[in-house]
Amino acid sequence: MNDRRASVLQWLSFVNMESRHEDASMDRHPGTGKWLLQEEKFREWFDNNYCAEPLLWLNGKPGAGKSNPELECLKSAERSGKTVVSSLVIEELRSHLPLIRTVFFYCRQSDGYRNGLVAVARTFLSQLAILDDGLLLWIYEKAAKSGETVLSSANLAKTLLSIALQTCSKTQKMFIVIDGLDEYSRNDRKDIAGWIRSVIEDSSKEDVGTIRCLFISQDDGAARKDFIDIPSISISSNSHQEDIQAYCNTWHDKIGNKFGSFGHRNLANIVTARAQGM
Amino acid sequence: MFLFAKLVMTNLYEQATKQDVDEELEPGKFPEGLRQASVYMFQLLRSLD
Repeated sequence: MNDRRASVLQWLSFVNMESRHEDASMDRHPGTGKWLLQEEKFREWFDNNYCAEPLLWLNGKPGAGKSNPELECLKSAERSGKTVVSSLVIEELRSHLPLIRTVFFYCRQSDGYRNGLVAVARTFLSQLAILDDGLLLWIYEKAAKSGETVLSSANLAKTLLSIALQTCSKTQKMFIVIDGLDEYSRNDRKDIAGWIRSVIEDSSKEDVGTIRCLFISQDDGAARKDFIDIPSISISSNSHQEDIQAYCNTWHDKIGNKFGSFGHRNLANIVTARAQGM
Repeated sequence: MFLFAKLVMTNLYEQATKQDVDEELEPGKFPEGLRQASVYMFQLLRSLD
C-alpha cells in the first residue's frame, strides 16, 4: 500500500499546499476574519444541513504587493488580508472532518504552470487520496493505464477529479477553496472557475450543497465576468480594519513583553490608524 | 493595509532598546507610507547581516 501511495502521489506531482497554508496562517491572529464567519451570505454557503447556494466569491482590493510594483521583492513576505482570511476558512472547514472534506489551493503567480487547471486537479486529487485508500487504489489503476509518468492530460485530470469530488458519502459534504485566482493568467482563471462551476452545477441538480466552492480573488474585471452571477462578499475597509487591528494588538502585546509598557501610548492604535488610510 | 502594519510592527519589535522604539515612534521618524516603512525594513535587514 505504501508503494502504491508513493507512486500515486508521484503521478499526481501535486503542489504542496500545506506549506502555503502554514505561511498564510502565520499572519492570522486571534480575532482575524471573525466578521466573515458571522456574515449571513457566508453562513448560507457554509451551513452543513441547509445550503442555499453552493458557490461564493470573496473579493477585496488588490494586495499591497500588487499595487506597488516597486515592492516586488517584498511580495513573498506579504500575505494580503484576503489570503489570511482564506486560511481561516480552510482551518474552520478542516475542523469539521469527517462531516466535511476539504480541498484547497493557493494560487501563486510564480507557479507558472502550462495548464493551471491540471495543477489544481492534481493537487485536489492528492489531497483526497491521502485520506481515502479506496480512492487511492482507483487512481493507482488509472495511472497505470494512462501511460503518463505524471498526470498531464487535461481531459483525464478533469474526469478523475469530477468523479473523485463525488465520492462523498451521503452524510458528507465536499468543500473547495481556491485562493488568489487573480495570480493566474486570464485563460487559466476562466478554465478553473468555469470547470469547477460546471461540476458543482451538475451535482446541484440532484442535491444542492454536496459540493461547494469558495473563490477568493481581487475584485477586477475578469473576476466580475467569471463570478457575476454568484453571491459575493467584499472584504470592506471596515472589516479589513478589524483584522488589521487584531493583527496589531498581538504585536503590541509582543513588543510590550519585550520592552515593557509604553504607558498610555497604544502601538496597535497608532499603526492601525496609519495603515487605514492606505 | 496589512503589509504596512507588518513592516512597522516587525521594525519596532526588532529594535535593540526601548529608547530606540520611542525614537521610531517620533513624528518625524514614523513612516508615512509603505515606501518609507520598507526602507526601514531594508535598513533593519542589513543591520542583522
